[in-house]
Amino acid sequence: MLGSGAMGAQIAALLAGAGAEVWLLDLPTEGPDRNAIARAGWKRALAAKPPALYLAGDARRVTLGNFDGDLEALRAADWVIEAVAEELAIKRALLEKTAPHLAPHAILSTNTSGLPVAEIFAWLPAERRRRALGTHFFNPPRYLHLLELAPLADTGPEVAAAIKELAEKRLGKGVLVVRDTPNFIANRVGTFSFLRAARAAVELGLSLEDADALTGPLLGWPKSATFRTADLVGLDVLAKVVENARRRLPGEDALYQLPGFIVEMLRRGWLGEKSGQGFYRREPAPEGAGSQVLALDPKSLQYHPRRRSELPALARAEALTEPGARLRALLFDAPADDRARQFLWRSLGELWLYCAAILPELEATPETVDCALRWGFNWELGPFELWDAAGLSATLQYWKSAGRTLPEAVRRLEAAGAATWYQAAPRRQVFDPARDGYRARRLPAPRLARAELLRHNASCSLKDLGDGIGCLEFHSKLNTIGPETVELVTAALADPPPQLRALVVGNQGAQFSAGANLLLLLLEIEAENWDDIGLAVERFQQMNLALKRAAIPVVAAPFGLAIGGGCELMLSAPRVVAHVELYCGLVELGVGLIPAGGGCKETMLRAAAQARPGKPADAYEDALQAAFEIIARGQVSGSALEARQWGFLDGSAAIVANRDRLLQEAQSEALRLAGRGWIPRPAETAPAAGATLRARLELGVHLLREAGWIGAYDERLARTLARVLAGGDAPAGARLTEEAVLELEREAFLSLCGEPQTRDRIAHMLKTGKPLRN
Amino acid sequence: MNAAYIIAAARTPVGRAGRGTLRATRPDELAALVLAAALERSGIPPEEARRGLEDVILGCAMPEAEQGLNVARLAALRAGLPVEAAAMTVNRFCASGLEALALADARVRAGAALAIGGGVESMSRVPMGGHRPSPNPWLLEHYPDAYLSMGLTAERLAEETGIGREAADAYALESHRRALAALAAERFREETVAVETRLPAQPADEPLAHPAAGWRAARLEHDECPRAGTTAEALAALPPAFHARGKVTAGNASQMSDGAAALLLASEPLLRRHQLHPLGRLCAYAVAGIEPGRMGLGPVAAISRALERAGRRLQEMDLIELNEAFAVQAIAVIAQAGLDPARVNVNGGAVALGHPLGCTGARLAISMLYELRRRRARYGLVTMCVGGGMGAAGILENLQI
Repeated sequence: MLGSGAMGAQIAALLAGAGAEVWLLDLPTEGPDRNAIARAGWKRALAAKPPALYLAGDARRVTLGNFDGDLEALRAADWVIEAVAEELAIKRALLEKTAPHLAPHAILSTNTSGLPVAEIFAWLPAERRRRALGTHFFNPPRYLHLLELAPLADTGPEVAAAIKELAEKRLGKGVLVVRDTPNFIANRVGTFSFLRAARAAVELGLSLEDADALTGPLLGWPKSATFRTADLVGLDVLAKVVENARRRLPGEDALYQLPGFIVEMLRRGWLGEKSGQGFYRREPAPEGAGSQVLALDPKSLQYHPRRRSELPALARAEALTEPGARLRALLFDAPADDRARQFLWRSLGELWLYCAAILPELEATPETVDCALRWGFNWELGPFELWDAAGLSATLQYWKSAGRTLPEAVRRLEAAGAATWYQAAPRRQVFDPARDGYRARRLPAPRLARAELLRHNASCSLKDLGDGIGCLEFHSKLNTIGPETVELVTAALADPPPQLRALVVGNQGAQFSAGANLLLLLLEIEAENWDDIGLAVERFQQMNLALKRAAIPVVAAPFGLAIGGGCELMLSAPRVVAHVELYCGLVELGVGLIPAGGGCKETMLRAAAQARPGKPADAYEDALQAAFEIIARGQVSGSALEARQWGFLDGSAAIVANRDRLLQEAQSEALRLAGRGWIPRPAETAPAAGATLRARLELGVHLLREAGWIGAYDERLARTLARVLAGGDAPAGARLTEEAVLELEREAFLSLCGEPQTRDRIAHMLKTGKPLRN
Repeated sequence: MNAAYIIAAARTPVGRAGRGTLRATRPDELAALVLAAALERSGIPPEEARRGLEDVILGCAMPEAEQGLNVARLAALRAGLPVEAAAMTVNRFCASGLEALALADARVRAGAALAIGGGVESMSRVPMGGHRPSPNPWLLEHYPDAYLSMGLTAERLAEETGIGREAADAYALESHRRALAALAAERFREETVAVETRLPAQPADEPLAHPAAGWRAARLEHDECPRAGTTAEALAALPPAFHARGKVTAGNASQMSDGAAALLLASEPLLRRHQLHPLGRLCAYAVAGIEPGRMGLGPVAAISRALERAGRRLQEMDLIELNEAFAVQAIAVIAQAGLDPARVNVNGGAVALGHPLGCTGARLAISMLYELRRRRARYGLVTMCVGGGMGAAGILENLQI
């Protein structure tokens, strides 16, 4: 890795996490530490939030060095990535210096957000050009899915393919091979979108808050919307990308002009988050604790406390749930002089036309552009998908009536008699203007959407993935688990459709599962339906037990959040294939409860399994104490690798880097297990650690409370947890059946349900999404 | 009753636990070193030691693991002491070393010719509370203060007495100033014995390529806890170490440490036979109990008992070694026992010099004897608070006046 700036160091961290030995080089410095620059850059990457590394220990795979002193690193490397400043001359000078030292087989790449790769490498000898290409990682590279690959005209196809495969399988990226056009695809479209929104806001006299309200979750775009995103990216970076487009897209230079107020902000050094202020600024609240966010007034360049947007059309649209319906309400149903309506036509409408217009130049289909924006900017729907959702024909009608000339691609679509960019039936296809017709989609898309539905209810479905593998798919809000899910999963395990040989528990929603449905629980608590709660808990326990001991292989495929009941389900599954970005934990104490879906039981069993090789009692107690502390603190893993360190994933669990491949890998695993001949897991017993360990755990929390770190109810909850994990009042060393531990869990859970503090905690979590410390 | 005389003493420099020079050294090795040194310094011939040395008594506050079993016996064997000398380990937490001295004194007065009292603790090797705390469930439920952590008892004391963060930090700064001055003047040189030991060659989280390259030689010659750069600003910037909103910090609490100390006591006939000039003698020793949550005030009652037993008045005590478990605790004891701050911890206390729990009582007695001799002063009071709610106090007389 040449260059230890934010991108270089964080890509190095990603590669190290994937198992590569990385040399991170930067300019040499005078003085005792020649690698001071690389060291400083690496230190910043290690401090990055969210973390750049999966595990702190991965840092061992990174060796620091400098461009002058570490030529042997260049000679040894298989892949040399240049990621220095976005200046053609700087990149070229460094590459010219390093290229002669590379091994013949080495692949050389330049990482850029949109400089011309051909120019960066123009001087390279032809045989080296075969093994050179451009990459564009998005920031932060661990978390943003997109990687644009821009091969040179003479890059060997095997070279691009090798990097693509490595990036997809090992780094988990969604790779798009793009043409070497200015700013490639995602930044080209994203920058245009930003400029249009900024200009429309100024023209219509909308505040930044208004513009962000119209370009955020309303459209399925991130909460940071337009201006907060720009603050995060940095206005200087943004200005460079705009300048690059202005200089290199001669016909479009009029489109790539920064509004005057942004030019002034740049002059003042208001670059966003990195300089402490940009379109927004955070400052201590005038009174008391916390901080408040100020927003910039583009006219006066003064900051004022951020206001909620009060555009009338916005409130109406927000009442609708589906993005398409919201868009239609704003674009067509709002009065013609409504400013929100005009804003969207001038920003999103222009974005659609622009995207259609540049398709030929990008040599891309709408599918590629949509993927670029979904993967690189976290949009739920790309521009063409949004366009279809808003109603393509109606928008065309609108422009035609205004006398607007439509792009060639749109004319071709109409000429072909098509009315949408995508069609689902008879096959999943996308309109390709270059071919004047639809063609099969090529990029990964939700598999489950295509799978045959076998059974379903409102929260959960059983689908046929093919090859005799069924998938239990959750699709409730945040994939929480309620009675419907429990019922369907239980039935599927008890009586699987005959064609199924194995099951996968997985979905392609935003999170694997946020746990039990707390709203239902709160209603039952308020109605004091203790028996019903007890029964529901028991059914969930029995479901997890059935999952664990199933007669056919069951593979859980968790990703993202797998917390509370979602984590217990994962712990119960006989086999797990997890996405590397797995944030799992037993966080029940945060809502005044303890794990009661087998979470305590599995924690004991795993501690016992970890302890087996050592001196039994001590090792078991230590493992159990470590697990107790994780649960009592409500800790959530930062990655699947950390979950494995904690024992939340066992030795048989597989970790998959690419989320788009997760279900497929889980399916392959299920198939392998079924093919090999499945032996159902036997009933187990968990050792009771006994009263002394329980007292040790309780003393720890008691002292935390005495020291003012936790409250009285936190202590009560942790002591309740300690009691269950120690095996209740059973003598130390006694072996408890799984059912006996489940009963302890249930009793403790029910006793807590009756406490007002627990009720308040649940209500607070439902209202704010944050735990209450009462 | 016969008389007992302290004829020789030796202690290791106090090492900083966790990161210090003694962090990889077994506590039984430290104890063996001071046992052998005390015997050697006494000038008693080996055959006399074989005949006369009856007991080796060491205090240890967490007597388990590397300082477990009967660490006094193991250290005596490791030091090559005659097998005829018996050994025992005693535990009165922070007073263990003084307790061992009192027991050795009693042994000689009851007729033994020679006995050793001392103490040892490696807080690097055995954490405070031990590796596997196993509290009594009934006590935890009904009397949890029995297990209250020491830092929290200090916070309670701060609350009870109104002693503030500034006073505690100022006290800590003065303790450092005195300790650094004592070290600069080499005032501890005579009593200490350097430790030749070894340390891991690299941090534990760096993988080791060759097991043989895992060690490097190390030597500790001086107490290493006092921090030369300590300033009022630095102390004020430290976060609370125990209570979330507390006044006790790592800077105004005693430092966790490693060390060992031993004193050799002899009977009057033996003294005469070898024409020895004793360092001093223990005039009186007393202990007292108090509520566990107020353990820091334990010395107040113990001091008056010890004075009464020795038939002395507080004013007669030329020097006072008050173990600084916590600065707030030391300030409270000074105020409540009416001690003269100018005579208390003239060479700094545990806040600066460290507090190797089981060793401390013996360490303070040794430092007291050497300082009394240097000043040609006669009486010294050694006192400390004890976890679980106790205090201990001993009165020493300098016989080299």
